[in-house]
Amino acid sequence: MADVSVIGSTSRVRGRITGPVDLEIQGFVEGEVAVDGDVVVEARALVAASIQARSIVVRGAIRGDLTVEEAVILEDGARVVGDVRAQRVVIAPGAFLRGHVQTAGVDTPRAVARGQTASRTARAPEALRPAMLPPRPAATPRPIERPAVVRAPVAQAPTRTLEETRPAMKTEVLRPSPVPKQAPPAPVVPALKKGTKGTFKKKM
Amino acid sequence: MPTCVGVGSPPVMAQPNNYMKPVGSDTRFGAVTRVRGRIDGDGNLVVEGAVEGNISLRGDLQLAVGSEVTADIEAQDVDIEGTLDGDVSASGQVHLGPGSRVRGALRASAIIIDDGARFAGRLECDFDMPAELEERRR
Amino acid sequence: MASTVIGVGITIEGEITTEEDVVVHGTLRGKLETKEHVSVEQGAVVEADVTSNTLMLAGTLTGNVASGERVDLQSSAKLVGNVRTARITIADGAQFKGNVEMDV
Repeated sequence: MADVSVIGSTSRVRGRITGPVDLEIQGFVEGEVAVDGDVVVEARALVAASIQARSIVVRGAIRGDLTVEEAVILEDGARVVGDVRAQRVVIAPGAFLRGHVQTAGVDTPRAVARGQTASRTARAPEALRPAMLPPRPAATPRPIERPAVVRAPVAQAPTRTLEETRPAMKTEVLRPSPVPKQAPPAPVVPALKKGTKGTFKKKM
Repeated sequence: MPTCVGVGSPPVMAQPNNYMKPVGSDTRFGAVTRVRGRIDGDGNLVVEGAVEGNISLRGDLQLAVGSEVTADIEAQDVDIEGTLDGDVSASGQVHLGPGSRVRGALRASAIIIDDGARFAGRLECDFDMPAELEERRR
Repeated sequence: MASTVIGVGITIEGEITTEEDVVVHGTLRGKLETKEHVSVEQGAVVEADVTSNTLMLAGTLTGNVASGERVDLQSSAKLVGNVRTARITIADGAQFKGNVEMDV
């Protein structure tokens, strides 16, 4: 019994591929792929399809969106045009991607995710903390714990000010600056319909 | 190589206890350094602290572990180990390290994302797709 | 030999065209075309017109078969559709409903 389904190198599939299985693509797939298992897109493969899977390893070319539970790994030679959404996204040297990327752990407001103060720590997702507070300076690279599924808390912390995110620092110096160098508001031009005559009726 | 920091307005506001030690031709903003404003330069820059503003370099930029940067960035190679909110345009490569956390659009000739990096945004990378996939939709 | 394998549990709705062997354990709806061998294994469900050089059927196939060289229906096979081929064998126990047209 074959555990892995294979679309061989001379095969072309047009349509939908679904199932609770792993899939290896060496040939051409056009349409849609939605499997529960792991997908490998091999070096010569051409995929014009959106792919949903548990994980994807890509060495070939894909035009389509990748929606993945765990990891998208683009290895050397991979070429992907499409949006990528996964817990983890890895792009190795030699891999190309054009599109939007969304990994876990970025949706959260920054101040919350940093978890530097007690109150914030309480709200910070458990899985974020180890990676967000690494030793400094960078020690020898550690194996990265894979973050658990992170549901972004909908905490509304205003996050733009640096004062908030680094409470330990002296902040007086920064205080006086009002919004720095902002372009003046765009001039307001009344929108006239085409053909409007040059007479304004004053409504006053 | 001269490194101009804070050319343009508003100027860089350095704290008295700034730790700004040049390393070779590099400029380094230490962990307790916070910079607000525009940064232009010819050399390399290492940020360990916080920057709010835009960064434009001829050289390489490294955002070290623990750095907090809110800026649009132009540089040659950009290595990010810290937190960045802003767009990056690199003539060389952009590397997101395992502890990095980035929100913004990245444009570079090469982009490398390590396992563990958190990223939300667009990747703009010029490359050719195989002809078979080239013409279709989008 | 490289080949295409439709594993157990997988469903393909659409077309497969290839130049290599195709082994089906799972489900295929649509169309299957190869210049080589197709085996539809026991438990597999194919609802598709199949074009190949040879076909070995042990599962269920609904659709027309055009296999240049030969078609073998195993005892577990169930075929509903017309067959066009040079040679055909039907094992005892195979279920088959359809026409056979043998090129001479």
